[in-house]
Amino acid sequence: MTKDFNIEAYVDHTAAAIGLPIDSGHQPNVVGYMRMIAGMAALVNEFPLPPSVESASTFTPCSISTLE
Amino acid sequence: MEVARAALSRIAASDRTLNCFTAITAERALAEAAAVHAALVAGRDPGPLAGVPYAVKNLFDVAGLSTLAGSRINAESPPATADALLVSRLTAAGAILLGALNMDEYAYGFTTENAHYGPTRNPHDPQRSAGGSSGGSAAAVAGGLVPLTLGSDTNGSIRVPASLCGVFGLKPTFGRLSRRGAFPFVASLDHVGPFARSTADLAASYDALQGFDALDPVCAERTFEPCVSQLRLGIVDLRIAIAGDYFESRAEPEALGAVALAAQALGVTRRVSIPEAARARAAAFVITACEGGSLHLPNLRQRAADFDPATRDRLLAGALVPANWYLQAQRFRRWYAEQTTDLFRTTDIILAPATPISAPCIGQTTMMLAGEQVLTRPHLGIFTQPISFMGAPVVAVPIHRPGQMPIGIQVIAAPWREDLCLRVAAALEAVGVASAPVAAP
Repeated sequence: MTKDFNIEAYVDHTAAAIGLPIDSGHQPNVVGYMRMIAGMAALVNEFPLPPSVESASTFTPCSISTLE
Repeated sequence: MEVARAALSRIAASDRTLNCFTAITAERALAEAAAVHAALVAGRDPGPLAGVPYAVKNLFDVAGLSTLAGSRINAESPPATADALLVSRLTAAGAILLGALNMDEYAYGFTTENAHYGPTRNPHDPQRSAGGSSGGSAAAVAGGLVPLTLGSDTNGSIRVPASLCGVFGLKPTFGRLSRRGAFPFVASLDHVGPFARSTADLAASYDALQGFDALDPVCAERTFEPCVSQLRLGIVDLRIAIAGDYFESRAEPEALGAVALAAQALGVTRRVSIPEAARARAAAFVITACEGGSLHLPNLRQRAADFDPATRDRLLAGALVPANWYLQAQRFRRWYAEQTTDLFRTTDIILAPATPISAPCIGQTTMMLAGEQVLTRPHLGIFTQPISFMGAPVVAVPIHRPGQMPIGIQVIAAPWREDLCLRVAAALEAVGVASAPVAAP
């Protein structure tokens, strides 16, 4: 997150991009929560990780026996 | 049959106040009790949990009921055609299902203040929160309505309500127990586990729940590792430490006091530092928002007004999280899991607070932590989130505090060592430091 990150604009544009209508009455709260998430993400993103660190979200191919 | 009828009577007497149950399966309970009785009469083994009444968080499939997951939207779903796997396992063990229990909508909360089904009340003080999101599961045990319940824990949803209601709860290792038939929230972090009023009951139910399930993609192929038989082994050979730093800096005196009582009883003074715990909580927060928002995106697009307002706006924000934030959080989790698992080379058990405070009042939006006013809901899980993020097993242990609201601690072990958590919990119970008395009506 950069200092000039405009969260209101981000919420509006991204919601439009993914086809998610946000009621104007809900928008201020959504922006507030996005600000909270952004703060958390900044804490994570500032932590240097070497390229060798893979995602903890792994994939195991299905076996045929599992599907039977 | 008498046991099932007595449980139904207790529920009828107490649930009007506590609001734990969203469905009562009386007909099924009586049929299951009759089956247990018939097995006994016929000389067959009725199972290790024969006749034990239990209930499940309403995100578990129960054949014949719509799986609410705390929502109004899911009430429109057709009834489940089969039980969740863990419900099947408890049935096979002879336990008797009494019903389904209240929770935060879609498990996204720590207070069980559900806009659709009302708040679940803390049996020790009905003006206070039961915690969440498995609030109905914890309160039903604390109130003596049933001795055993199932809940789920993504960021603390077993351990937070166990702490606030003063009962034992087990969040097993990530991937230990099958989640098949449990409505998902955050696939990367969802766990399921039991609540009970004693370590023995917790271990007995956990043993009945264990077993590989190829149809849960994260369920690990582990052999059955019984715990009931381990409880008597004691703790003399265990290296136990207190979680320092992050886990001491933001806890109120009552939470630190609970850890100190346990540590004193166990003769523990050594401290360890769980590396980057605050960042782990942050990463869990990002992953939760993103996966939760994505899961519910179709309904958020079409019928946002039907969500609980407390859930809706967080899910809407979560649906907008950029991929980089999510993926960095997942990569950080890999690093963190390796670092924290390394910690267990020299330490078998870590003690930490389960919640920073005892139960807040229902409707209380803020609380004080280390002299700072913070939002209640997200901060009840500050000590549980970094632990589930590493996937380690935890027993939430209620510390005996006569005349005061309950509060629990986390007894944490290395992944796959639930047996050690349960041994320490049993030791604390044996010396009277841990207890889960039924709340006075």
